[in-house]
Amino acid sequence: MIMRRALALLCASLLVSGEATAAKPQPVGELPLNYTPAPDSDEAGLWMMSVEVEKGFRSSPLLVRDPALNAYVKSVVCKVAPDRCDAIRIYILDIPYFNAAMSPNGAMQVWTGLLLRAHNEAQLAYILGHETSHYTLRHTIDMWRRARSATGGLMVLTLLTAGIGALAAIGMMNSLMAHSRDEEREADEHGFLLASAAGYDPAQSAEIWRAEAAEDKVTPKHEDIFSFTHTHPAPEERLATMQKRAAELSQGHHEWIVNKGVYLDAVKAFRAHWLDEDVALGHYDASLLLLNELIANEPESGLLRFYQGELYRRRNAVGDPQNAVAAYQAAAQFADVPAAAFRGLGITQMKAGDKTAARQAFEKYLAVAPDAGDRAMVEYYLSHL
Amino acid sequence: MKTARLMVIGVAFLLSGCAAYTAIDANKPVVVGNKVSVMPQIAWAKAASPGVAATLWTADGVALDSLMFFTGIEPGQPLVSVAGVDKKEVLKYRTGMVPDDVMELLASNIEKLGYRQIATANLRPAPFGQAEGFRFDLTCTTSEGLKVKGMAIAAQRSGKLDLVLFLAPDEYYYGRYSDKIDSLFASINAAK
Repeated sequence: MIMRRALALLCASLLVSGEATAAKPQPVGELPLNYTPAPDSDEAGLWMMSVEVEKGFRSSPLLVRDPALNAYVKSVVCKVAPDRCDAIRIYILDIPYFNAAMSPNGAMQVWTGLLLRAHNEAQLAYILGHETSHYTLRHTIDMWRRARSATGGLMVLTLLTAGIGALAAIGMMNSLMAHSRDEEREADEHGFLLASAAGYDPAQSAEIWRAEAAEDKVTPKHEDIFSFTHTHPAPEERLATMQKRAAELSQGHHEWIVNKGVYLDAVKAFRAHWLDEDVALGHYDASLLLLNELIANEPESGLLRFYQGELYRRRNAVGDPQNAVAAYQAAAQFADVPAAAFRGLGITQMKAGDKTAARQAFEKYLAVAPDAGDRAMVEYYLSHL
Repeated sequence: MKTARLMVIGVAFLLSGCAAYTAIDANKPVVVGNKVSVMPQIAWAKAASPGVAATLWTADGVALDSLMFFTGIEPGQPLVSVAGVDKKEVLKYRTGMVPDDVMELLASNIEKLGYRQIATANLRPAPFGQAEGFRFDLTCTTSEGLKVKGMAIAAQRSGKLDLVLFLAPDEYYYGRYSDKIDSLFASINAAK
């Protein structure tokens, strides 16, 4: 118990350090190209720590190793910041929250919860532009000097390398690297300029923050402490800023890049898994809001409507069984409907006592997925109808 | 986010490593709760199970294998209770759940313990003693990055849920014990 409390206190102290000690950052200036810190500098020590954490990314089971997806995300970074393309390494981590983070040595984390939420390449480009800006503006060394003067930075380094677990280390690293809100605002502006200069539609920057602001309101707050919004400006503030900047830039310019189809093709193979993970979090209100946003962007997706049905079925609040049936039936109208939609429909109708409809749905499931691993279970359900 | 929780769970398991164990004889039937008994098949040690509403056995240590008996779970009860997680967010057992729901209940509850990338499969009917039950398999990842496999058997009797879950690292330990766990599941004695 004592150790548990000590860890909680340590986490708490780390979480507040970014704000509480942000007396007055002393900016060190933009990162020169091909830069390496002097070996005897504190910045070199920080980079060494980042190298250790980066080793953890490489061996982590959370790392998404798919070459095509990695190449695609890297290509977006290279469009946004061509002069930093060679220096930035991408690590896509299978974590179902909206987040990305940048280490001072050029290792960029992109969480799958972010890739699930982006509607198009332009939205991803604005987030990656923001993260690239933390790197090029060397925000982390400023933060590190503040944190080290106020808290036990070396103690944190020891813990990071003491085998506390891959995801725990990532969380502690991100917490340690929490920038001040002024730095976040600066990265917003700098990233906005990078992505818009690359031709990406500035309205998409506002759009992803509009959706995130809405989701943030219904997400349990304790789940938020390591997420993108924790130390960043409030989503509403960010949304207002981005809308204003987009309106300024859009005057007289009509050929912005959005790349919705390209983006959806790049993430297509992974979305069912990412949606499974999001649904499993049990944040039904937030997940339903997310799905409504995704369906508005892709009205002809049977996959998204299937997960809408799954959420209603699992939440099981008043009216949810009827909503689940409607969502499953809507999913069935589209070519990409998963076979599991018919199983979900059958379960919902079986529980509602509609035996005929349940039988039809289960039979359809077995016809579409004759080799399903749960065939015997569905046959059991059928035998009891 | 879950990172803080993962550390707490990890520490809790480490602490449980220091807790007292009770030996379980391989060849004597044991009542594990709610009038469910099993033949252990191998020698086990009964360990503390912080945050989990189950009796916990382990052969080589809880970080290497865990056999959990959730018995007599009543409607409205969750399977886990995790510090820092709002109880409202933990899925509870409900009257009228079908086997698919119970499988999702378990996956959702162990997600709150910090397990990641949870995938369930092969839901199928199976006898639970004299009662009609069901089995399923699962895979997940621990906070340490270890790939874990699991198998579960469950039944709903008189409005209560009984569920037995075995979890072990995919590498070596799951395979080492899977046949014994199959036999243990087959040895379950429980009335309809």
